Amino acid sequence: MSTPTRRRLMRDFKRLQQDPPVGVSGSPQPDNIMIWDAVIFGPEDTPFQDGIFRLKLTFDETYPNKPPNVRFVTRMFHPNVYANGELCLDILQNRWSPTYDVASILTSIQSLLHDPNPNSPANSEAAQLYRENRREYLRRVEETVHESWEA
Amino acid sequence: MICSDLEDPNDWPLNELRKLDTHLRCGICKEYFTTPVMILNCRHRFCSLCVRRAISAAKQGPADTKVVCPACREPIDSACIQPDTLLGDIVGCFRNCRSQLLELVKRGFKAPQEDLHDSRSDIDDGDISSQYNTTTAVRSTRRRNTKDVPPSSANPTHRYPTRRQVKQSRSPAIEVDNCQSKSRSDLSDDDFIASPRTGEHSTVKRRRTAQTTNATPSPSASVNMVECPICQCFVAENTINKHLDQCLGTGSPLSPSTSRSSGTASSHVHVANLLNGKRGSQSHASNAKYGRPTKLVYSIMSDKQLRKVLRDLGIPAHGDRAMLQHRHTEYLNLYLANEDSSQPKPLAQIVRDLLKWEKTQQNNTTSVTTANVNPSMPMSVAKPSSTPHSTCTSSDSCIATGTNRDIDDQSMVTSSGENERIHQMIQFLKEQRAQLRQSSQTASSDPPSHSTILDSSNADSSKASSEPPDDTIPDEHCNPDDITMDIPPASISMENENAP
Repeated sequence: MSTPTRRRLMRDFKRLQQDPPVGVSGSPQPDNIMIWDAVIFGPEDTPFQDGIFRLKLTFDETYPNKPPNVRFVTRMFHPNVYANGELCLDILQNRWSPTYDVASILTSIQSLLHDPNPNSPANSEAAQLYRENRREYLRRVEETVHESWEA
Repeated sequence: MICSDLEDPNDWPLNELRKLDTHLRCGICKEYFTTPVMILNCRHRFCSLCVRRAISAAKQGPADTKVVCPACREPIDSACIQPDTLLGDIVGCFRNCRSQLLELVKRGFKAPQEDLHDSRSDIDDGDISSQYNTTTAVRSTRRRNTKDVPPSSANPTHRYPTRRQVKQSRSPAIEVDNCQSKSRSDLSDDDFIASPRTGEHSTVKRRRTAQTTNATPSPSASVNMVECPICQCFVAENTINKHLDQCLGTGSPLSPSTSRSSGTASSHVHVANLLNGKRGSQSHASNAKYGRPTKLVYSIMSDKQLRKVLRDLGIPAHGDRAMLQHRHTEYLNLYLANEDSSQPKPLAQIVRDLLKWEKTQQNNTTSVTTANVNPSMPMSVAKPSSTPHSTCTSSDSCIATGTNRDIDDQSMVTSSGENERIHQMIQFLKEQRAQLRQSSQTASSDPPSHSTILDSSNADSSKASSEPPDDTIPDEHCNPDDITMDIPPASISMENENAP
């Protein structure tokens, strides 16, 4: 049945196809528009460059008034990404706006990669290394970038 | 997945028309405004129902969630909402002529290739707008060359050329669409060579519609079009009944005989009543069954009291506490949005909409209550004035996000179809990246290799040598001002188009 939420998701998909943002892409499952697969390329000129990171977005009928559940499928090493792939990102929580769409969610996550906030870490080890041992942090990030190619 | 029936700003070949189309859409639902309202403080506009639902959803969140404008985050209240009738009228006009306008614009872009020898002005291939201007010059050239100079070009009341003029001038076929029709079939010139019978019929139609309005008849030969006396748009004859119902908001179809012979007269009566602020007699009777909802403070009411309120309103009173509250909130939003509308529907229709909404909520994979934000989950943004958030040492605190996680676990099982889709996306992004790198003249456009990270000298050298100090890291990950503008999607897309 076509609900306003489903219609909105179809529009989001259409926009992603016709007006693709740089370095991010997403598409819903053919039989279920509420579950999306997305890919984010690591931003250029960052340690995440050339990384191919996959995500899963789960929507429900409260969208767009409530944000989707977003999770990295690819293993990440980032101060604001939990071990299970969930994100700690303000626009997905208390600073969500119903004007956001899938494109804006994905581009925000992409910009988060090289712009973490170690003050509220989801991955304490990553946050600590980011603060105290940047070289080691970069090495660990590079590891995940290489790993992402093999998936 | 069929997206082709969704009309979209990207349908327009001209950038400025795309922007115009986007501006006429609600930022929340991305559809054209339905009953647009303006928030008085910040003057941002949304559909009445969209913004009311957004406010209700924010209120259902954690207690410290402020209710803010979705565009600019200024604190708002449902009391500072006012209907924007002018915007509603503008959107209505645009929607009525959208398909025709789109057709004309698209043909305007095709024509320069066919009629270069006819053109009297210079065509600059690189300039889209000058092409468009050239096309109109070409068109007027054509018209001047025909024997009959159509009076329609001079007379502002005639919106469409008559059938004879179209046939003689051999200008592109103009399709007249009803305001809600989705069909956009291309008509060739042959379609306008009317059979004697059809031509006669259309002449009769022309006379009848001329009596009611000053617009010219439709040139369509395949479908008989009649003009709605209320909204002045053309509709197929076999759908006029339904269309009039919608225009009048009566909820029951007029009989075919009424619509043909005395339909016009009764429509005028209805229009007069609407102008006088009265509603159709049918809607009076039906509205009496349903009460007027008011804002309630649910926390001080018992379940019993809440059920009674719902029963008195004439809406279902079953379900648990959460369902009762949500149903009441949704009904209130639907009711107030209907009141804002310039053509309100009868309450019976509103109640039907409520029941439809309830069905979608039941089909929802997670209930609304469990979708609420877990207030104990630490945020990645530290507010400037607040103390640092507690460190999240494990992922256990995220378990409380509710049943979304269960669904995620199930959907983690990948299928070959899914892998293929993901692979396609990756390929597309690789090509995009290659193009961008080529155009910005970076080192390599090859597929990612192990040496790429070392190759791009910018990345490693700047990171290895001196790291930016922590205090330069901004407090917020994404500056909402970058994203939350009046028309965020358009701004983001326009930026991408302008990127080198």
